[in-house]
Amino acid sequence: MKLSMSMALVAAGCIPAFAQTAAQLQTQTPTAKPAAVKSNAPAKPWKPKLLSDGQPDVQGTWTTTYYGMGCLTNPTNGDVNCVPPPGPRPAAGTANAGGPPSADATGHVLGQRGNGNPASIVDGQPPPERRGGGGQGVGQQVAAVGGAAAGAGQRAARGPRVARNAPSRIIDTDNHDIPYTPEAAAHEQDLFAHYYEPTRYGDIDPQQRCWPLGAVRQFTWHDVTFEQFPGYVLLIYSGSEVYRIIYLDNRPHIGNDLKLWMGDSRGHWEGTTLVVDTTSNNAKGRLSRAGDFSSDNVHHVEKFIFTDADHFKYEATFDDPTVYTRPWTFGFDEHRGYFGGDGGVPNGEVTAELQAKWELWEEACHEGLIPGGNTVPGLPPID
Amino acid sequence: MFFGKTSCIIFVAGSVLAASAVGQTARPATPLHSAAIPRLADGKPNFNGIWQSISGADVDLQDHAANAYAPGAQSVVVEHAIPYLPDAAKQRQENYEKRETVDTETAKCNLPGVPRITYARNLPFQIFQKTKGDKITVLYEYAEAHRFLYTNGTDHPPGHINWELGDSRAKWDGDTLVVDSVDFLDDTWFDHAGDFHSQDLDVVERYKLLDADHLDYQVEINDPKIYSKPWHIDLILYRRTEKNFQLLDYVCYAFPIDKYYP
Repeated sequence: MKLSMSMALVAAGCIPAFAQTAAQLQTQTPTAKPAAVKSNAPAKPWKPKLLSDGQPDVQGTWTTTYYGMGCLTNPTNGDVNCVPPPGPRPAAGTANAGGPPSADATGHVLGQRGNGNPASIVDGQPPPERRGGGGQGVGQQVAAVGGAAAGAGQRAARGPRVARNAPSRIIDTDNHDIPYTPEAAAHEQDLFAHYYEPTRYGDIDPQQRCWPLGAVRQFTWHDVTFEQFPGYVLLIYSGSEVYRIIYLDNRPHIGNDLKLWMGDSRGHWEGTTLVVDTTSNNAKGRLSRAGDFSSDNVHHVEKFIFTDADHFKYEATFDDPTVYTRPWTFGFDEHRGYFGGDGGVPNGEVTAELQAKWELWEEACHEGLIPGGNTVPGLPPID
Repeated sequence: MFFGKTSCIIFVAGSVLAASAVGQTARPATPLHSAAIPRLADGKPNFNGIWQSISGADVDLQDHAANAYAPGAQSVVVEHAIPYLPDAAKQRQENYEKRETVDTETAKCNLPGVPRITYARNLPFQIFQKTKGDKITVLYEYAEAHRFLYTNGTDHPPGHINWELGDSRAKWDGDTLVVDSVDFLDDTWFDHAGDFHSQDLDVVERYKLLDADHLDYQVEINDPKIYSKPWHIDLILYRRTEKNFQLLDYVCYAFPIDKYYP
């Protein structure tokens, strides 16, 4: 069983992820506001259960409404939802079809560079589709999360994805876009323009090779499981074999000349917010399929702001004067995942018992690259 | 439940068992340090920390002389020779001759299966274990790999499932953590010398602290399609004790990055 991860020219598959079943798309009748929508700070401060070393207990697997790795300014499902670059697009109905949003009444097309989706856009959106029915939940009679049982057992035939919008991931600039220097913006646009028709190997998003995405972008690719041990928070990601270790013991960072794919992270808790300082980023992973990037000078301060037992806001600063004219902040909401499979949600009720039984299974990614998968037709072979 | 309330008995028995294990394996010849081992509050041996093999196992489980690829090393196979069935012995020889292009660890940087992940490139790995936890998490520097060793009494899921690192269910046998793993792909090798298995591989690892800084790592390999009888690996894992030592990354599948992203 392979998770199919297709791209324009490099065919890749994740093996042998969730071998029992494949995740299936389904639509469900909404009965509650989407989890990601109601993640504003609650009226009462959350009083978490504390672990033996005093950490708030945030263990478990977390997900988000839209992973949104295609386009930071218009982070929806689908592949590249910024205004499409030149070249042939995936056929409608295929996994990566996606598509840019329509122009609004004023003629603006949201999601363009310099016109990222505002935070208010989510209010006008239909509820997110829910994925599930696959993986370990299959065949189990379960009902929806939080008592919202409508839709249980309903399973629509898999249809084409519908592009929907979500707020830009850039949350603190006036135009909801990344404040690139002119040179950096030109580089991003160059990568973006060659997304579907690469002319150089460098045009291909390293993610398409299943390479690690970097400390921040990894959150836009499937889900993340938090494990906590005295002095540590571990982040173990779904969708590929990648983890992070966040050290809480005040040890110094490793040397900043020693770069790592997922950076070097030191954290501490401020109430129910986990604050993480992340250095030594090699920045070899990009930030989206639209060519967004940082350099290996980038320094992140990440905040995991837990607002209740089931929601946190993630904010990460990008401080990198070689690429950006000012520091900016990446932000989005995560909610607790209730799973029946890879990123999926069981069809029906999720009991605590069922959730406790869910296991994160191996998702080897680059192992599934087709033989010769690094050689792209039309590009000169590289030895 | 594997976590009994026998911690005081285990405390008493710990040194005896450790000494006994040393004697059985004849490795090392004398206890390295005091046989006192660290324990968690639930009485279980505390494996938390960063461990590393310094063996020649990743190159060749059996005796091998030094060459340009790697230093020589003595066999870590308890039976000294691996009891291949006749056809399998031929396959192993073919593998050996093609090892530079067919070994998925060295040629592709695939996840290398179990037990090879333990000594892959002799890279360090970190064990995360908590009192009365439902599993032990192991993070490997090799290719960002992780394993969950479930200690909650659950069985393997219905299979067969094709996984690189298999499915691991663990229990305690006294002070020894016994991990049973199945559900493997058949394209991983145990070393760079072509020692191989089929999908029917069943690996039983036994982790046992000899003292605070040494883990005896014994492995039983069962695969009746390939071997005439089960066979065993035994090597020592060493704790990394340097101040602020931590796992880095070894993302070997991306080593050609400069070729694609100059």
